[in-house]
Amino acid sequence: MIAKYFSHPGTLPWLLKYELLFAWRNLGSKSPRTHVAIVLFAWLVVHLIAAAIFFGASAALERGVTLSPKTIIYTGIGFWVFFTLLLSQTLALAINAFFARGDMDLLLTSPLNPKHILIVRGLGVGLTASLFPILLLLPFAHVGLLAGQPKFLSIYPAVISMALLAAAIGIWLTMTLVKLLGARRAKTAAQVLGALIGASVFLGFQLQNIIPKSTREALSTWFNQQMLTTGLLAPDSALWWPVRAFMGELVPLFAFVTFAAVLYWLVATLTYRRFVIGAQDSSSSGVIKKQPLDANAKVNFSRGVLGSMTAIMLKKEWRLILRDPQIITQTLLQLLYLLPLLFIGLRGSQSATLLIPSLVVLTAMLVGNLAWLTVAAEDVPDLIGTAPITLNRVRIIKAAAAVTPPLLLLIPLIIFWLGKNPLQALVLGLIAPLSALSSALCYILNPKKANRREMAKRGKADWLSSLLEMMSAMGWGASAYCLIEAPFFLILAIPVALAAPLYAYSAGYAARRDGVLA
Amino acid sequence: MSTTNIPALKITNLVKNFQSNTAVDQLNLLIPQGEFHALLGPNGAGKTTTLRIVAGLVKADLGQVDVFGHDVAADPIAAKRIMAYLPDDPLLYGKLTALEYLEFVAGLWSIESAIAAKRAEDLLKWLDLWSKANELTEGYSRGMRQKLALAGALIHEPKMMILDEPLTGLDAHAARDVKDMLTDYVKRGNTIVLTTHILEIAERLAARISIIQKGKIVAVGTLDELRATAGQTGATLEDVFLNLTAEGANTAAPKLSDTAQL
Repeated sequence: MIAKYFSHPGTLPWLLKYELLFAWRNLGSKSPRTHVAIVLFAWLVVHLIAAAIFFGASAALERGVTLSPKTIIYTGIGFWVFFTLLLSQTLALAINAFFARGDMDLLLTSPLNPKHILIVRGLGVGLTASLFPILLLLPFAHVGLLAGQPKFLSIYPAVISMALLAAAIGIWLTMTLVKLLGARRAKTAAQVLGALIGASVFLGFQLQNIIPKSTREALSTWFNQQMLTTGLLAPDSALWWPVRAFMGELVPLFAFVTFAAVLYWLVATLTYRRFVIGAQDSSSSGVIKKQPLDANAKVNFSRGVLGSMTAIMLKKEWRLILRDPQIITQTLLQLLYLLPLLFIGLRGSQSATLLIPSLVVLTAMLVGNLAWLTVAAEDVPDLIGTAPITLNRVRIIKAAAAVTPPLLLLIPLIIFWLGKNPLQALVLGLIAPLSALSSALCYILNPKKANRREMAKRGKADWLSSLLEMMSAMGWGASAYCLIEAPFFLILAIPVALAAPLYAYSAGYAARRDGVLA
Repeated sequence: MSTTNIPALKITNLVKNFQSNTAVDQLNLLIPQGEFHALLGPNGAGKTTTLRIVAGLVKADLGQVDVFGHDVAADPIAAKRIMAYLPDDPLLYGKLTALEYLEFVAGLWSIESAIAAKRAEDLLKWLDLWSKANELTEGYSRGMRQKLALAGALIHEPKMMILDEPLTGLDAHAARDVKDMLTDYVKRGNTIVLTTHILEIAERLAARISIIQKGKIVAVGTLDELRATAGQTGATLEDVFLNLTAEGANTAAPKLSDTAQL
């Protein structure tokens, strides 16, 4: 009966079937069979872990599980922290699913109700973003049932409600951005917002390293007061009902499911018109209109050194980088993640020795991102290939375009650090450029074509280069640490750092010989 | 030997294999300076591979390609300096404006910036792109993109242009603009080698036509010469093309001396 409904064209379940199929196909680049095998194997492992946990806690389960007030509060905080990360992921997926996927014109010109399209696509987004918790938590429901604890079946509706809630908030934020900025600008804004929401979790964890002791103590007192029975964060607060829902308490479960479903339906009802307008905007050919160039205007191209071939190529690479919202978001995040370390370093704490290696690793990773963009994601390698310039020169210019910006960002820090700790500053000044160059070489020496739009998935598409880049970054980070703390171990760290570009040189030899740029 | 006697393009015994598939098989072709030459063939005949070898994008397994006397394999920089390659998918950067794009292309060919700026202005006005010159090309229509790519190809004033399906997807107005521009370019003494599936374009624009099948040139000449080869006096190019590329047609490669009858 259900199968028949799913196969009935034009219904919500029918549309959802396709949405889930797309989501599934987008998960990885491997063949469908390998894909299923990997997921099933991972799921089996999680089932075994769940079984071990249930076995270990069997005595407590027989007595009946009741979480202590403190456990409820801390688990509840954990839930909302995780939910924030989920929301960040949902936002990034939503803008893409609503305004970037090529099938929206087809769907909107079909006789399907646009509200249904929004509902189904939103569900697809929510479920894709929640796939990891779904796969991780459902085995506990299955094992619980086998262990005589059917109440854990509540994980099913609870985890779906969590996905629904994330989708509802994600859709609402996306459509608000579209209303305020238009579909095209909203895409960039959603990426930045999603990343900032994700980063806020990290910064939240690092608060104790950043804020002064007095503020920390005041906050701690406030939290303790709020955790009392009458406070905002009291154990029986509705804030923690999602956790109770997961644990099988019927009233919180019913409330959580109802709240998520009603909110999702409300958001879909209130925003579907905005969704249609945004989809039409994003599929139209027009971009942000600029004032047409005056008929009498004169063209001025850069002259002298700035007009040289090298300068013009560098300028083109940097323009493309600066106009890429993903790379800007990623760079901002990496700088944001550095903040707590910087605070620790500035206070002169013992753990400051980790700051220099961390800076080296971050520089290498940032250069890796840029090198991927300038080399692998070169939009038109054929244009470069037909130009009267040697590929080696192009490669050097592209490496320079990737290496220069992160190193320029480091210079003020190195100068500042010279006054605080000259040895650490010198190590940073020596190792960071080497790590940057090494990261760039991983892409330049082993050229592989990639699509700029797939930056977020670049690790999957070219896992070898990403692995080499990571290995090189870690190797140079370890080298920096050894130089400061344990010079003898350099004999281990430097070979690891050098192995990555050397391997890239060997793996990419044939491609370079055939004149492949990307 | 005077420079005007040097052929614009001379392809000798060109061979290119992709694993077990032979894309170009002992291909010979001679195109004099100032000719509008069309290269026709069915899908997978080896047209694009041949043009990509000429443009220096693919390395040949055997044979030689000379552009105005410069061996593409031995002296690629000299050969690339005087030619431009324009495939059916325009070679553009969506995140650059038209002016930024032209400045970049001019930079690649080391054109002095003042000269490049003047040429960019003239080309953009001529191709009716001037009012959009400061907009990112990702918002351009297909026709605008193709015209801008053409401007990019022309900004360094190449002596020969290699065009792979340059009119694909263009509307009637844009197609007319591009055809006029190409005709004008050849009138100024330059050379064009063009592939197209639109036989009417080859019929109207090309002085000589080569027909390629299974990596070999099976016929070359003016339309009348092709009609004679096919034994179809008064036939349309379409009839001649279908006849010459029909399965079982003679696919023996003509000798270089045959193709050299200019």
